[in-house]
Amino acid sequence: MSGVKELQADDWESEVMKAESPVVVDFWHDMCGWCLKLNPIYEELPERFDNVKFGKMNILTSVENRSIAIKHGVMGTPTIKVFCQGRDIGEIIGFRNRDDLIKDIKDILAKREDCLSHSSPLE
Amino acid sequence: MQGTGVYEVIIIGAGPAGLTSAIYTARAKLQTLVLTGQMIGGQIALTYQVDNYPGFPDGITGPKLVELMRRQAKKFGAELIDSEATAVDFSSRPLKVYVGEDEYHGTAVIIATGSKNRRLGLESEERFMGRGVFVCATCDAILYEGKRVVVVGGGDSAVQEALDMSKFARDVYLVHRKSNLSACRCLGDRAEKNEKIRFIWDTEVEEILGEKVVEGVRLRNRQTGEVWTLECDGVLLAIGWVPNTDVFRGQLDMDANGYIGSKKGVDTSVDGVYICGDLNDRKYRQVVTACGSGCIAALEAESFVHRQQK
Repeated sequence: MSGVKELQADDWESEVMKAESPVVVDFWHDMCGWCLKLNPIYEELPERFDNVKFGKMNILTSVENRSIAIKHGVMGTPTIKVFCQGRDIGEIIGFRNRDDLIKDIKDILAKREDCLSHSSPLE
Repeated sequence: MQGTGVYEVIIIGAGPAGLTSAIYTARAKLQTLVLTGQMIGGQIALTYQVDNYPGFPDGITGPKLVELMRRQAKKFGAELIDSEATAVDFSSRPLKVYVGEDEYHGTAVIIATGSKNRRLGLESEERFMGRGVFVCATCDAILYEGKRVVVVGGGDSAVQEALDMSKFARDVYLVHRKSNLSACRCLGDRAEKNEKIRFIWDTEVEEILGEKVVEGVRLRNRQTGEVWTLECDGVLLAIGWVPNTDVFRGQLDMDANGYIGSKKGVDTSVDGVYICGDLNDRKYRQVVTACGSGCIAALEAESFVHRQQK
Protein backbone atom coordinates (compact mmCIF):
# COMPACT_ATOMS: atom_id res chain seq x y z
CA MET A 1 0.00 0.00 0.00
CA SER A 2 1.26 3.44 -0.83
CA GLY A 3 2.32 5.62 2.08
CA VAL A 4 1.12 8.74 0.28
CA LYS A 5 -2.11 10.12 1.69
CA GLU A 6 -4.67 11.69 -0.62
CA LEU A 7 -5.38 15.01 1.07
CA GLN A 8 -8.58 17.05 0.94
CA ALA A 9 -9.21 20.58 2.13
CA ASP A 10 -11.20 19.22 5.10
CA ASP A 11 -8.22 17.43 6.57
CA TRP A 12 -5.56 19.97 5.61
CA GLU A 13 -5.35 21.45 9.11
CA SER A 14 -5.07 18.16 10.96
CA GLU A 15 -2.92 16.29 8.45
CA VAL A 16 -0.53 19.06 7.42
CA MET A 17 -0.60 22.25 9.45
CA LYS A 18 -0.86 20.56 12.85
CA ALA A 19 1.26 17.53 12.03
CA GLU A 20 4.14 16.85 14.40
CA SER A 21 6.46 15.53 11.73
CA PRO A 22 7.35 17.31 8.50
CA VAL A 23 4.83 16.81 5.69
CA VAL A 24 5.67 16.77 2.00
CA VAL A 25 2.71 17.65 -0.23
CA ASP A 26 2.49 17.22 -4.00
CA PHE A 27 -0.02 19.64 -5.54
CA TRP A 28 -1.12 18.00 -8.76
CA HIS A 29 -4.03 17.18 -11.03
CA ASP A 30 -4.74 14.57 -13.64
CA MET A 31 -4.84 16.93 -16.64
CA CYS A 32 -1.18 17.78 -16.00
CA GLY A 33 1.17 15.52 -17.91
CA TRP A 34 4.23 16.29 -15.81
CA CYS A 35 2.20 15.44 -12.70
CA LEU A 36 1.29 12.06 -14.17
CA LYS A 37 4.95 11.41 -14.91
CA LEU A 38 5.89 12.41 -11.38
CA ASN A 39 3.21 10.30 -9.65
CA PRO A 40 4.90 6.87 -9.73
CA ILE A 41 8.20 8.39 -8.55
CA TYR A 42 6.47 10.29 -5.75
CA GLU A 43 4.60 7.17 -4.59
CA GLU A 44 7.95 5.48 -3.86
CA LEU A 45 9.21 8.27 -1.60
CA PRO A 46 7.68 7.33 1.79
CA GLU A 47 9.89 4.26 2.10
CA ARG A 48 12.97 6.42 1.53
CA PHE A 49 12.32 8.80 4.45
CA ASP A 50 11.88 8.21 8.18
CA ASN A 51 9.52 10.33 10.25
CA VAL A 52 8.27 12.29 7.27
CA LYS A 53 4.67 12.18 6.07
CA PHE A 54 3.82 12.33 2.38
CA GLY A 55 0.57 13.59 0.93
CA LYS A 56 -0.79 14.70 -2.37
CA MET A 57 -3.57 17.15 -3.10
CA ASN A 58 -5.48 17.09 -6.37
CA ILE A 59 -6.30 20.74 -7.06
CA LEU A 60 -9.14 19.86 -9.42
CA THR A 61 -11.08 17.81 -6.89
CA SER A 62 -12.65 20.86 -5.26
CA VAL A 63 -12.56 24.64 -5.19
CA GLU A 64 -11.39 24.33 -1.59
CA ASN A 65 -8.40 22.22 -2.57
CA ARG A 66 -7.49 24.74 -5.24
CA SER A 67 -7.82 27.61 -2.80
CA ILE A 68 -5.35 25.93 -0.45
CA ALA A 69 -2.86 25.55 -3.31
CA ILE A 70 -3.24 29.19 -4.34
CA LYS A 71 -3.03 30.36 -0.71
CA HIS A 72 0.31 28.59 -0.40
CA GLY A 73 1.66 30.16 -3.56
CA VAL A 74 1.29 27.26 -5.99
CA MET A 75 1.45 28.78 -9.48
CA GLY A 76 2.17 25.71 -11.55
CA THR A 77 1.80 21.97 -11.37
CA PRO A 78 3.38 19.83 -10.18
CA THR A 79 4.62 21.79 -7.17
CA ILE A 80 5.85 19.93 -4.12
CA LYS A 81 5.85 21.84 -0.85
CA VAL A 82 7.36 20.85 2.46
CA PHE A 83 5.65 21.89 5.67
CA CYS A 84 7.06 21.72 9.17
CA GLN A 85 5.10 22.69 12.27
CA GLY A 86 2.66 24.58 10.10
CA ARG A 87 5.37 26.46 8.25
CA ASP A 88 6.12 26.27 4.58
CA ILE A 89 9.85 25.45 4.58
CA GLY A 90 10.52 24.86 0.91
CA GLU A 91 9.22 23.97 -2.49
CA ILE A 92 10.17 22.04 -5.59
CA ILE A 93 8.59 23.28 -8.78
CA GLY A 94 8.20 21.02 -11.78
CA PHE A 95 9.19 17.47 -12.61
CA ARG A 96 12.31 15.82 -11.14
CA ASN A 97 13.72 12.40 -11.71
CA ARG A 98 13.89 10.09 -8.70
CA ASP A 99 17.42 10.91 -7.56
CA ASP A 100 17.03 14.66 -7.94
CA LEU A 101 13.70 14.63 -6.16
CA ILE A 102 15.07 12.71 -3.18
CA LYS A 103 18.07 15.04 -2.99
CA ASP A 104 15.93 18.18 -3.21
CA ILE A 105 13.58 16.98 -0.47
CA LYS A 106 16.52 16.01 1.73
CA ASP A 107 18.03 19.46 1.21
CA ILE A 108 14.81 21.11 2.33
CA LEU A 109 14.43 18.75 5.30
CA ALA A 110 17.96 19.55 6.40
CA LYS A 111 16.46 22.83 7.56
CA ARG A 112 14.00 20.91 9.72
CA GLU A 113 15.82 21.24 13.02
CA ASP A 114 16.04 24.95 12.60
CA CYS A 115 12.38 24.98 11.75
CA LEU A 116 11.39 22.85 14.74
CA SER A 117 13.32 24.92 17.24
CA HIS A 118 12.45 28.36 15.97
CA SER A 119 8.97 28.19 14.62
CA SER A 120 5.52 28.39 15.98
CA PRO A 121 2.62 27.12 13.95
CA LEU A 122 0.99 29.54 11.55
CA GLU A 123 -2.60 30.63 11.96
CA MET B 1 34.60 2.59 -20.77
CA GLN B 2 32.19 0.76 -18.47
CA GLY B 3 29.80 -0.81 -20.94
CA THR B 4 29.36 -1.44 -24.59
CA GLY B 5 26.92 -3.10 -26.89
CA VAL B 6 26.65 -3.93 -30.55
CA TYR B 7 23.26 -3.56 -32.21
CA GLU B 8 21.88 -3.51 -35.71
CA VAL B 9 19.68 -0.54 -34.90
CA ILE B 10 20.04 2.02 -32.14
CA ILE B 11 17.02 4.26 -31.59
CA ILE B 12 17.53 7.49 -29.67
CA GLY B 13 14.28 8.70 -28.13
CA ALA B 14 11.13 6.88 -27.06
CA GLY B 15 8.09 8.91 -27.97
CA PRO B 16 5.55 7.50 -30.42
CA ALA B 17 8.04 7.85 -33.32
CA GLY B 18 10.94 6.07 -31.62
CA LEU B 19 8.74 3.34 -30.14
CA THR B 20 7.09 2.72 -33.51
CA SER B 21 10.55 2.39 -35.06
CA ALA B 22 11.44 -0.08 -32.31
CA ILE B 23 8.29 -2.15 -32.90
CA TYR B 24 9.15 -2.41 -36.60
CA THR B 25 12.89 -3.13 -36.33
CA ALA B 26 12.52 -5.56 -33.43
CA ARG B 27 9.69 -7.37 -35.19
CA ALA B 28 11.97 -7.59 -38.24
CA LYS B 29 14.35 -9.45 -35.92
CA LEU B 30 16.99 -6.73 -35.95
CA GLN B 31 18.86 -6.38 -32.67
CA THR B 32 17.36 -3.13 -31.43
CA LEU B 33 18.43 -0.84 -28.60
CA VAL B 34 16.25 2.10 -27.54
CA LEU B 35 17.87 4.83 -25.47
CA THR B 36 14.70 6.22 -23.96
CA GLY B 37 16.15 8.98 -21.85
CA GLN B 38 14.32 9.59 -18.59
CA MET B 39 11.33 11.09 -20.35
CA ILE B 40 9.92 8.03 -22.03
CA GLY B 41 6.88 8.89 -24.09
CA GLY B 42 7.82 12.32 -25.32
CA GLN B 43 5.23 15.07 -25.57
CA ILE B 44 2.30 12.67 -25.77
CA ALA B 45 3.07 11.34 -22.31
CA LEU B 46 2.29 14.87 -21.15
CA THR B 47 -1.10 14.87 -22.83
CA TYR B 48 -3.99 13.77 -20.68
CA GLN B 49 -6.41 12.63 -23.31
CA VAL B 50 -5.77 11.50 -26.88
CA ASP B 51 -9.00 11.30 -28.87
CA ASN B 52 -7.74 11.15 -32.45
CA TYR B 53 -5.41 8.17 -32.46
CA PRO B 54 -7.07 5.49 -34.59
CA GLY B 55 -8.25 2.35 -32.85
CA PHE B 56 -9.29 4.00 -29.58
CA PRO B 57 -12.88 5.18 -30.14
CA ASP B 58 -13.27 6.14 -26.50
CA GLY B 59 -9.93 7.97 -26.37
CA ILE B 60 -6.90 6.97 -24.33
CA THR B 61 -4.61 8.85 -21.97
CA GLY B 62 -1.20 9.80 -23.35
CA PRO B 63 0.76 7.86 -20.68
CA LYS B 64 -1.35 4.74 -21.30
CA LEU B 65 -0.81 4.93 -25.06
CA VAL B 66 2.94 5.21 -24.50
CA GLU B 67 2.89 2.26 -22.10
CA LEU B 68 1.13 0.10 -24.70
CA MET B 69 3.68 1.09 -27.37
CA ARG B 70 6.55 0.35 -24.99
CA ARG B 71 5.14 -3.07 -24.17
CA GLN B 72 4.70 -3.81 -27.86
CA ALA B 73 8.33 -2.89 -28.62
CA LYS B 74 9.60 -5.04 -25.73
CA LYS B 75 7.41 -7.96 -26.76
CA PHE B 76 9.26 -8.12 -30.08
CA GLY B 77 12.61 -8.06 -28.31
CA ALA B 78 13.69 -4.43 -28.31
CA GLU B 79 16.02 -3.59 -25.43
CA LEU B 80 15.10 -0.36 -23.66
CA ILE B 81 17.57 1.57 -21.50
CA ASP B 82 16.45 4.69 -19.65
CA SER B 83 19.64 6.58 -20.47
CA GLU B 84 20.20 9.65 -22.56
CA ALA B 85 22.64 9.74 -25.48
CA THR B 86 25.33 12.21 -24.48
CA ALA B 87 27.41 12.14 -27.69
CA VAL B 88 27.58 10.42 -31.06
CA ASP B 89 30.30 9.70 -33.58
CA PHE B 90 28.95 9.14 -37.07
CA SER B 91 32.32 9.72 -38.79
CA SER B 92 33.12 6.01 -39.11
CA ARG B 93 31.48 2.56 -39.05
CA PRO B 94 30.00 1.16 -36.96
CA LEU B 95 28.07 4.25 -35.86
CA LYS B 96 28.78 5.11 -32.25
CA VAL B 97 26.43 6.41 -29.59
CA TYR B 98 27.74 7.33 -26.15
CA VAL B 99 25.96 7.41 -22.81
CA GLY B 100 28.56 9.05 -20.63
CA GLU B 101 31.44 6.56 -20.54
CA ASP B 102 29.41 3.78 -22.13
CA GLU B 103 29.70 3.21 -25.86
CA TYR B 104 27.15 1.53 -28.11
CA HIS B 105 27.76 0.48 -31.71
CA GLY B 106 25.02 0.39 -34.32
CA THR B 107 24.82 -0.46 -37.99
CA ALA B 108 21.97 2.05 -38.28
CA VAL B 109 20.77 4.80 -35.96
CA ILE B 110 17.28 6.29 -35.79
CA ILE B 111 16.97 9.66 -34.10
CA ALA B 112 13.58 10.41 -32.54
CA THR B 113 14.46 12.92 -29.84
CA GLY B 114 11.45 15.16 -30.40
CA SER B 115 11.26 18.81 -29.56
CA LYS B 116 10.84 21.12 -26.62
CA ASN B 117 9.07 24.41 -25.96
CA ARG B 118 10.89 27.39 -27.39
CA ARG B 119 11.90 29.91 -24.75
CA LEU B 120 12.39 33.66 -25.00
CA GLY B 121 15.99 33.35 -23.82
CA LEU B 122 15.63 35.69 -20.86
CA GLU B 123 17.24 35.02 -17.49
CA SER B 124 14.04 36.21 -15.82
CA GLU B 125 12.03 33.58 -17.68
CA GLU B 126 13.97 30.75 -16.03
CA ARG B 127 13.86 32.44 -12.64
CA PHE B 128 10.07 32.72 -12.71
CA MET B 129 9.34 29.33 -14.29
CA GLY B 130 6.56 27.86 -12.14
CA ARG B 131 6.28 31.19 -10.32
CA GLY B 132 4.15 32.88 -12.93
CA VAL B 133 5.87 31.78 -16.12
CA PHE B 134 4.40 28.64 -17.64
CA VAL B 135 4.08 26.77 -20.92
CA CYS B 136 0.89 24.76 -20.60
CA ALA B 137 -2.56 26.31 -20.15
CA THR B 138 -4.14 22.87 -19.73
CA CYS B 139 -1.86 22.27 -16.75
CA ASP B 140 -1.92 25.60 -14.98
CA ALA B 141 -4.72 27.87 -16.25
CA ILE B 142 -6.88 26.95 -13.28
CA LEU B 143 -4.37 28.56 -10.92
CA TYR B 144 -4.86 31.92 -12.64
CA GLU B 145 -8.56 32.34 -11.99
CA GLY B 146 -9.40 36.02 -11.91
CA LYS B 147 -5.82 36.98 -12.78
CA ARG B 148 -4.26 38.92 -15.65
CA VAL B 149 -2.17 36.79 -17.98
CA VAL B 150 0.07 37.59 -20.94
CA VAL B 151 0.22 34.92 -23.64
CA VAL B 152 3.28 35.26 -25.89
CA GLY B 153 3.00 34.06 -29.48
CA GLY B 154 0.71 34.24 -32.49
CA GLY B 155 0.44 30.73 -33.90
CA ASP B 156 -2.22 28.07 -33.43
CA SER B 157 -0.94 26.97 -30.06
CA ALA B 158 -0.71 30.54 -28.73
CA VAL B 159 -4.27 31.37 -29.74
CA GLN B 160 -5.60 28.06 -28.42
CA GLU B 161 -3.78 28.66 -25.13
CA ALA B 162 -5.22 32.20 -24.97
CA LEU B 163 -8.72 30.81 -25.49
CA ASP B 164 -8.12 28.19 -22.77
CA MET B 165 -6.76 30.87 -20.42
CA SER B 166 -9.81 33.08 -21.00
CA LYS B 167 -12.00 30.49 -19.23
CA PHE B 168 -10.22 31.32 -15.97
CA ALA B 169 -8.25 34.56 -16.26
CA ARG B 170 -9.81 38.01 -15.88
CA ASP B 171 -7.79 39.49 -18.76
CA VAL B 172 -5.70 37.81 -21.43
CA TYR B 173 -3.20 39.81 -23.49
CA LEU B 174 -1.87 38.10 -26.59
CA VAL B 175 1.54 39.63 -27.29
CA HIS B 176 2.76 38.91 -30.80
CA ARG B 177 5.89 40.16 -32.54
CA LYS B 178 4.10 40.46 -35.89
CA SER B 179 1.12 42.55 -36.97
CA ASN B 180 -1.22 39.64 -37.57
CA LEU B 181 -1.80 36.11 -36.35
CA SER B 182 -0.23 33.14 -38.05
CA ALA B 183 -2.86 30.94 -36.40
CA CYS B 184 -5.62 29.43 -38.52
CA ARG B 185 -8.59 31.64 -39.25
CA CYS B 186 -10.98 29.52 -37.20
CA LEU B 187 -8.98 30.08 -34.03
CA GLY B 188 -8.26 33.73 -34.82
CA ASP B 189 -11.95 34.47 -35.26
CA ARG B 190 -12.80 32.89 -31.95
CA ALA B 191 -10.09 34.89 -30.18
CA GLU B 192 -11.23 38.16 -31.77
CA LYS B 193 -14.77 37.58 -30.57
CA ASN B 194 -13.61 36.73 -27.06
CA GLU B 195 -14.12 39.78 -24.85
CA LYS B 196 -11.38 38.82 -22.42
CA ILE B 197 -8.65 38.59 -25.07
CA ARG B 198 -6.82 41.70 -26.23
CA PHE B 199 -4.11 41.79 -28.88
CA ILE B 200 -0.80 43.63 -28.63
CA TRP B 201 0.81 43.59 -32.07
CA ASP B 202 4.40 44.11 -33.27
CA THR B 203 5.62 43.70 -29.74
CA GLU B 204 8.27 41.66 -27.96
CA VAL B 205 8.70 40.78 -24.30
CA GLU B 206 11.97 42.38 -23.22
CA GLU B 207 11.88 41.34 -19.59
CA ILE B 208 9.69 39.55 -17.09
CA LEU B 209 9.39 41.64 -13.96
CA GLY B 210 8.79 40.79 -10.33
CA GLU B 211 10.41 40.06 -7.01
CA LYS B 212 9.46 36.53 -5.99
CA VAL B 213 6.70 35.96 -8.51
CA VAL B 214 5.73 37.54 -11.82
CA GLU B 215 4.37 41.05 -11.44
CA GLY B 216 4.58 42.31 -15.00
CA VAL B 217 6.37 42.37 -18.32
CA ARG B 218 8.44 45.03 -20.04
CA LEU B 219 7.34 45.24 -23.68
CA ARG B 220 8.91 46.86 -26.71
CA ASN B 221 7.06 47.80 -29.86
CA ARG B 222 9.14 46.64 -32.82
CA GLN B 223 7.79 49.36 -35.12
CA THR B 224 7.92 52.43 -32.91
CA GLY B 225 10.57 51.36 -30.39
CA GLU B 226 8.24 52.35 -27.57
CA VAL B 227 9.00 50.54 -24.31
CA TRP B 228 6.32 50.10 -21.68
CA THR B 229 5.30 47.94 -18.74
CA LEU B 230 2.21 45.81 -18.47
CA GLU B 231 1.25 44.53 -15.04
CA CYS B 232 0.30 40.87 -15.01
CA ASP B 233 0.28 37.78 -12.79
CA GLY B 234 1.27 35.20 -15.35
CA VAL B 235 3.21 34.81 -18.59
CA LEU B 236 2.30 31.86 -20.79
CA LEU B 237 4.90 31.08 -23.44
CA ALA B 238 3.56 29.66 -26.70
CA ILE B 239 6.24 30.63 -29.19
CA GLY B 240 6.71 27.28 -30.84
CA TRP B 241 9.14 24.43 -30.59
CA VAL B 242 12.82 23.69 -31.05
CA PRO B 243 14.12 20.27 -32.05
CA ASN B 244 16.25 18.36 -29.54
CA THR B 245 19.28 18.05 -31.78
CA ASP B 246 22.13 19.65 -29.82
CA VAL B 247 23.90 16.33 -29.31
CA PHE B 248 24.10 15.80 -33.11
CA ARG B 249 25.59 19.20 -33.92
CA GLY B 250 28.72 18.78 -36.00
CA GLN B 251 27.80 15.18 -36.84
CA LEU B 252 24.81 15.80 -39.10
CA ASP B 253 23.89 18.69 -41.39
CA MET B 254 21.24 20.88 -39.82
CA ASP B 255 19.78 24.32 -40.42
CA ALA B 256 20.16 27.34 -38.16
CA ASN B 257 17.08 26.29 -36.18
CA GLY B 258 18.50 22.84 -35.44
CA TYR B 259 16.33 20.95 -37.92
CA ILE B 260 18.13 18.00 -39.48
CA GLY B 261 17.62 17.03 -43.09
CA SER B 262 14.95 17.97 -45.55
CA LYS B 263 11.43 19.06 -44.68
CA LYS B 264 10.10 15.69 -45.69
CA GLY B 265 11.65 12.27 -45.50
CA VAL B 266 13.72 10.48 -42.90
CA ASP B 267 17.20 10.66 -44.45
CA THR B 268 20.10 12.66 -43.03
CA SER B 269 23.50 13.66 -44.34
CA VAL B 270 24.94 10.35 -43.08
CA ASP B 271 23.93 7.03 -44.66
CA GLY B 272 22.30 4.74 -42.13
CA VAL B 273 21.24 7.58 -39.82
CA TYR B 274 17.53 8.41 -39.98
CA ILE B 275 15.23 10.89 -38.29
CA CYS B 276 11.54 10.73 -37.43
CA GLY B 277 8.83 12.30 -35.29
CA ASP B 278 8.46 15.88 -34.10
CA LEU B 279 12.20 16.31 -34.45
CA ASN B 280 11.68 16.97 -38.15
CA ASP B 281 8.05 18.03 -38.17
CA ARG B 282 7.54 21.76 -38.50
CA LYS B 283 3.86 21.52 -39.19
CA TYR B 284 1.72 18.52 -38.26
CA ARG B 285 3.03 17.24 -34.93
CA GLN B 286 0.38 14.55 -34.43
CA VAL B 287 0.87 11.18 -32.71
CA VAL B 288 -0.17 9.42 -35.86
CA THR B 289 2.24 11.36 -38.09
CA ALA B 290 5.05 10.69 -35.61
CA CYS B 291 4.24 6.97 -35.72
CA GLY B 292 4.08 7.12 -39.53
CA SER B 293 7.52 8.65 -39.85
CA GLY B 294 8.83 6.23 -37.21
CA CYS B 295 7.64 3.36 -39.37
CA ILE B 296 9.29 4.82 -42.49
CA ALA B 297 12.58 5.38 -40.65
CA ALA B 298 12.49 1.78 -39.39
CA LEU B 299 11.84 0.35 -42.85
CA GLU B 300 14.69 2.44 -44.29
CA ALA B 301 16.99 1.34 -41.46
CA GLU B 302 16.04 -2.29 -41.99
CA SER B 303 16.80 -2.00 -45.69
CA PHE B 304 20.13 -0.29 -44.93
CA VAL B 305 21.17 -2.99 -42.43
CA HIS B 306 20.39 -5.74 -44.93
CA ARG B 307 22.43 -3.97 -47.63
CA GLN B 308 25.40 -3.77 -45.27
CA GLN B 309 25.18 -7.46 -44.50
CA LYS B 310 25.22 -8.59 -48.14
